[in-house]
Amino acid sequence: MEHPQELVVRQAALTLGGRAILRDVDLALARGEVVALLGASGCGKTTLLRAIAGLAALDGGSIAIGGRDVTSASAQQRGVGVVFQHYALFPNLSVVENVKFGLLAEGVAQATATERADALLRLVELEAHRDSRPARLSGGQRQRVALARALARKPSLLLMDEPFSALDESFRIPLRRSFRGLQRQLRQTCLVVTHDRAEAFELADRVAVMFDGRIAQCDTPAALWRQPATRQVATFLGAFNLIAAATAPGTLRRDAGWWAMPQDALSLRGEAGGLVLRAQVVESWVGQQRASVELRTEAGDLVTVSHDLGKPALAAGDSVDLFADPAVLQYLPT
Amino acid sequence: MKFPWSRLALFTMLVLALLPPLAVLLYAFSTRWDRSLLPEGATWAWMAETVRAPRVQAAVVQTLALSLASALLTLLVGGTATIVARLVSPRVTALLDALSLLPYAIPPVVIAIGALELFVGRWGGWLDLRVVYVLVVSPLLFPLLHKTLAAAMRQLDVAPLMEAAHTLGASDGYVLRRVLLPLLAPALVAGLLLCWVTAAMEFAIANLLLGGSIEMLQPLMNGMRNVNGHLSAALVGLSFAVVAAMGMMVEGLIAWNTRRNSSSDRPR
Amino acid sequence: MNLSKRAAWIAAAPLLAIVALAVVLPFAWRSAGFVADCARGNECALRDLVADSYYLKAIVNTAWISALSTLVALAVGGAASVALAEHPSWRRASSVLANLGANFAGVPLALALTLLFGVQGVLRQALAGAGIALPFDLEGNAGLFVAYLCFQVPLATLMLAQPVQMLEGGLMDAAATLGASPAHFWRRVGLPLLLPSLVEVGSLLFANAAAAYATPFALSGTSANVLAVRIAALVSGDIFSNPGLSSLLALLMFVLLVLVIGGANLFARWLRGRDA
Repeated sequence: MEHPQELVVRQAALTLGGRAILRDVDLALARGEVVALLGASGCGKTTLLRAIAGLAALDGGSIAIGGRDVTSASAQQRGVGVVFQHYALFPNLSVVENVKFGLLAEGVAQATATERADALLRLVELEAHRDSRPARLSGGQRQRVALARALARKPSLLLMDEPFSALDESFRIPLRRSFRGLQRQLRQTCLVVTHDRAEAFELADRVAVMFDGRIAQCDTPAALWRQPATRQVATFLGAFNLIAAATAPGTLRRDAGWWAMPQDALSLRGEAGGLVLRAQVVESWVGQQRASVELRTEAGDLVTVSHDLGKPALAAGDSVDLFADPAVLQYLPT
Repeated sequence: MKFPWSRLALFTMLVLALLPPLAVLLYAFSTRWDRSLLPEGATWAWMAETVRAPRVQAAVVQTLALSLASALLTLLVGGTATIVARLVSPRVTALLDALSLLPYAIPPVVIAIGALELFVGRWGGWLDLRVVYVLVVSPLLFPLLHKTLAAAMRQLDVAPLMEAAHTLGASDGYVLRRVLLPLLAPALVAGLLLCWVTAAMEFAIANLLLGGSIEMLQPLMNGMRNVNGHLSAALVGLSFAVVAAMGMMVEGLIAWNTRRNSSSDRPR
Repeated sequence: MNLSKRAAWIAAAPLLAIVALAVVLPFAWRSAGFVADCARGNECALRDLVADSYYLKAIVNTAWISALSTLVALAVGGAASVALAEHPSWRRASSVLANLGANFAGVPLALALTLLFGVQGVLRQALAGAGIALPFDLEGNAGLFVAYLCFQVPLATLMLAQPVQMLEGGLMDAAATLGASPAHFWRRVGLPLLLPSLVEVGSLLFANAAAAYATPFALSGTSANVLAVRIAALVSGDIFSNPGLSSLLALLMFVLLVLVIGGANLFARWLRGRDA
């Protein structure tokens, strides 16, 4: 029977040391989907991952994998693959022995296990290092071993805890893109925990933004860009400008709440018919390709605008007009 | 991961560790315990008699004083060696590590016999017996102190502190005084207490070296067994109450030191 | 004052002097005395050693009681450390209690065990009443073995706490998510990784048991036939006094312990080098 939902978490609750880490969390993953759990440290995302893996027991709620209720099942029985943040490779076993570990534990014959392990190592391009010990490998290589090991038993669900955060910046992007390619090829259902926004948006079909033990919004990246649900989400995503509705000009004025617009929607050039804000430059920061200019509006909101490096620079204290198309404005009551 | 064997093992360890002290304690507080599974007649009498006995008081004072002297000697001499060696010389540290293994290869009983022959037999007139005792027990305590201090210094991660101090123009001596020793103070106290307790509980040297002349606590306890087991038990109970209290202080100090010195921004 | 390498030697000098004076000197003196006696062709204690199997028995007894108590202590203590690694909240209390158990050796332990398992022992009589006869006699080697366990097991738990803790968490979780049973994990990963520490701790436990004097002496006086008691009894000045033999036995024990500890350290280093 086809189970369209590979993972269903209902009302997950977990308290540790008197503190509520997970508060009635609901999450569902469809087969072949990648969902990123995005949040700052301490928001409970790793705890949720560990609960799904069976490494932490829930105080309330349920977890179902592949249609089967696994809430009380041990980690061994859940059939989930996990890639840990620091990989947790067995130091006394070689790369291929690490990858075979789960298969041998299951009772698969040595020859079959070795074959499958070697196939996976070819997939992650590590067959040259099959007999090395983990200590000899680079961070990126270890990460790929951890991935191959987790995939060896063909788990229906793959969980990854900050899989790329321990890597040098220059490796992160290529590795995660090659992982995304692999995931699509294998059609592997995947839940990735990360605090890196760019990573979440590149890897995932949907992103679940988490704060303080709750999922604030779970949507496709495009929807998150266009319609953040709350100010907290908009601020966390970091690519929005927010102006207070109480001090907004004209028809935009409200009693409370905020108007959000994607950062690129606000510019120094535009037509007078739309939204116009007068602002003063606070500081200009040089970026890789553009300059980020921070300005304060007359109403007191701090906004950021991109500015071409080629154009004459803006100095602190300059007064400018900012333009935006009102159609992209999003009202956030909270 | 559920592994019931490990919990059974823990339970076994606790039984082995707690059953004897418990038995002794019950015996110390009961009038008699020879008729049934449970002791009879709860009483403070044995404790009172023990505490009041002049022989016991003398032995307690002697033992506490001599073992404290050994512990202090070890702290001074061994502590200096360990700290300085760890700061500047891996070779000396390796030597001290090896020295920590020496008491395991040359056990106290062998040392006691040797010291008896040399310092009491041949050169008996030269050194006061008590000085000999302190000198002979001190090296046996060194492994404990060394391990405690080494662990504390490792946790402290001393090298970056010294480097920072040098770039600020401070001499090693200054850093030692103002930074290292204060930071190591809990470990030093813990080490001292551990050494003190171990020296006080030592039997072989106390019995063989000092046997005829100075009566120490452990030999006294043994002697009392044949006279009145309850009194002996009371004495044991008393001394272990003190040992347990000191042990908890040591634990507390080490834990406090760990909390103080570890970084606070480790995730979860 | 800046510290140089020389300063380390100067700082260590007093300690080295005390160790040389209080430990090395007496031991070397007696050993040299014994060797000189034999070299001169005089009455050599070596003859006494082999003439009477009593002393050879002491060596054998010491070896097997130490070895067996060490193995049991490693197994039980190791497993107990694993339990403590999984339950951090139990660690403080267990550590204090294990410390108590490890330090309760000697006279106090003998007192307790005589009380419980001696001829008139409380537990022995209670069990006899229920029809169970205890298989060991406190005065004999089996009783000694039980006594040694009472301090070896807690000591092993304390000494293995740190090595086991370094293993815990990540690797055990990873194995669980890969579907491995705890037994599989311990067999393929846990024990191999722990082996160097087990070997080192084992050698120290062995030495601790071999050197134990207070416990056997307090339990059975000079009739306890282990090396430590024999070494002391041979110089007590009664009719069995034989200082030369005492020196020989001490020398033999030293050699045995150096071999065990040194061998264990080398083995552990080799094991660790393999996994690098």
